[in-house]
Amino acid sequence: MNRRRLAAVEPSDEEIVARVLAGATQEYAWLVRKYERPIYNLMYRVTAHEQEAADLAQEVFVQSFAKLQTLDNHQPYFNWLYTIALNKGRDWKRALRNRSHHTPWRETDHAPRKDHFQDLSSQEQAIQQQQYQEQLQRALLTLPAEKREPLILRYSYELSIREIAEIFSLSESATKMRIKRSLEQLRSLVENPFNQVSPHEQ
Amino acid sequence: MNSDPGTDLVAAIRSLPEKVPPCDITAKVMQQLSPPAPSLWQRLRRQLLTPIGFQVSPLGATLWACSCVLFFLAGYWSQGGLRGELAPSGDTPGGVPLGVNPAVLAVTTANSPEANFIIGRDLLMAGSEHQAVAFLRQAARQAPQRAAYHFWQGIAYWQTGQYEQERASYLQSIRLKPDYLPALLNLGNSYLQGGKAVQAVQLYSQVLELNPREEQALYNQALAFRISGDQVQEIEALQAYLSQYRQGSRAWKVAERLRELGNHRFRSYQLGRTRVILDQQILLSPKGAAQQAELLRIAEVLRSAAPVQLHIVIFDPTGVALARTKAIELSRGLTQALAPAKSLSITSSWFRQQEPSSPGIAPGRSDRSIVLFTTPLPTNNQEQRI
Repeated sequence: MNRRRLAAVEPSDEEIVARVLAGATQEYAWLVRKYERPIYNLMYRVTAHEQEAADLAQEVFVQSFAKLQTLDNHQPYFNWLYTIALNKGRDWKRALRNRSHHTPWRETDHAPRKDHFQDLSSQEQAIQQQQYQEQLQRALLTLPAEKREPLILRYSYELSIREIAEIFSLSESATKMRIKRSLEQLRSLVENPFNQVSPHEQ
Repeated sequence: MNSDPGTDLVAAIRSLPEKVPPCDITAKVMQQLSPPAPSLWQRLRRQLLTPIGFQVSPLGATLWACSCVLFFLAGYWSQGGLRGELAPSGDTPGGVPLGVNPAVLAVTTANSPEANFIIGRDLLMAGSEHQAVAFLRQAARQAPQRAAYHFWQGIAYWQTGQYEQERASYLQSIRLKPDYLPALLNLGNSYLQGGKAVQAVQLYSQVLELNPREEQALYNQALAFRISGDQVQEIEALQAYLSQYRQGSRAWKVAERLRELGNHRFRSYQLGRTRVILDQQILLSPKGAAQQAELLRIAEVLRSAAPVQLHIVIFDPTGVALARTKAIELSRGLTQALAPAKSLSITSSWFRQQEPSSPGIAPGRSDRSIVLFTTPLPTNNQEQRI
């Protein structure tokens, strides 16, 4: 899912927000449907647990609805929503540190489906690719959210540097530098998996 | 951009799979936002007790009545017209419903399941998967007892990316014909690709019971064990593959994987210009049909090779006598296997020790081992240089 695909959905976020604020509460479902995937995935990266991520994503949307009147007209809805979600994730982590029980480790994603009449070497490649992706996922989860999320926003959702800077309240040059350093750190973690620690050990 | 060291990593981040959120998030959120819905009783009461009133203007009522009559007449005439054109006898050809263009319908359905099956399969071969699905689905509906129809329907579903339906079709096919090997194999492959290694292994076992030499099942079974992280079973499966197949890229991959796992039962040897995979364990075991088969493999390679000298080296830390006996036995066996077509110069050596490790070979090899290699045969007509 990328930014282009998000932006392709009609009507625009501004229009929906205006309608919701005018009393058409049901219109809010458009925004939830449109952004549930990135918000749920963000929460999943934070919690590494499907049910917990779903609950938190719901809370984010409810909270966003309650605060919708405070949304600045010039600020894109998604950036604002993502900021709320990031704060929610931080709160959750803080609460987790105070909890005694351990959150279960993430479920393994299934291998990407491939042609099974193909030459079997491709199946091996698929396995290798899956292993690499798992390694990358693990490395990504090792990064703190402040470093990980700019990377995801930049490369998975294709947000502009300015938009990411807005979300993280940083200058554009600082955002660029953060993305560059995060990428370097991620590379080092992928190449030396032994440097990785569980995200819950941070 | 290619010089940027982060480009590949960026590409990998872009291609990272995303989790699909539960489908009820929107409903749950909206439930929390909306006021509570009135109960069924409240809604019924409101509906029944609220008086209904409407206003009608004479002109509007007339127009409404006229349009109703026109619609009724248009429908009546069109039905009568079609009946007259298509089926004078009062029946439609091939059960084609009235009002539907039969030419269009003929593309998606045919009366004969065989016809639908053949058309669907040909469309599949021609790369028109979506059209093929319609025909094969129809064939399977028309003749639900035919396992092959469900099997091909599964293939069509697979090619159109409908994996759940694909599996359901294979399962139906297997239900009808439990020993239908292609369906078992494809279902196993489907599970394997979906990451369901346990189910895949179960199906491959069934395939191998039916045909113990089924190459894809032998190979994929090992892959399935690899995915599930069961190294012991993986090694067994890899060995089972090499017991049947020694040629082709897959055989080399299997041999390489076994070496990676620290299992040296199967080793590759360079004999002349050919590299061959041999079962070391069988070569070192007592005489028998299996050993004879291994010797024949060596003989086959050497028969087509230029004249070479074969060196057999046996390492056996348990006793030099045993090593010597085995070296002589193999040497004789090979000579017999090659005779009378070709005579072979064989040098045998034996050592009462473990084979010294070389950088390319990982530790963990078995105690007894055999090394085979060839050297060019010294010839008398070589030019002597002063």
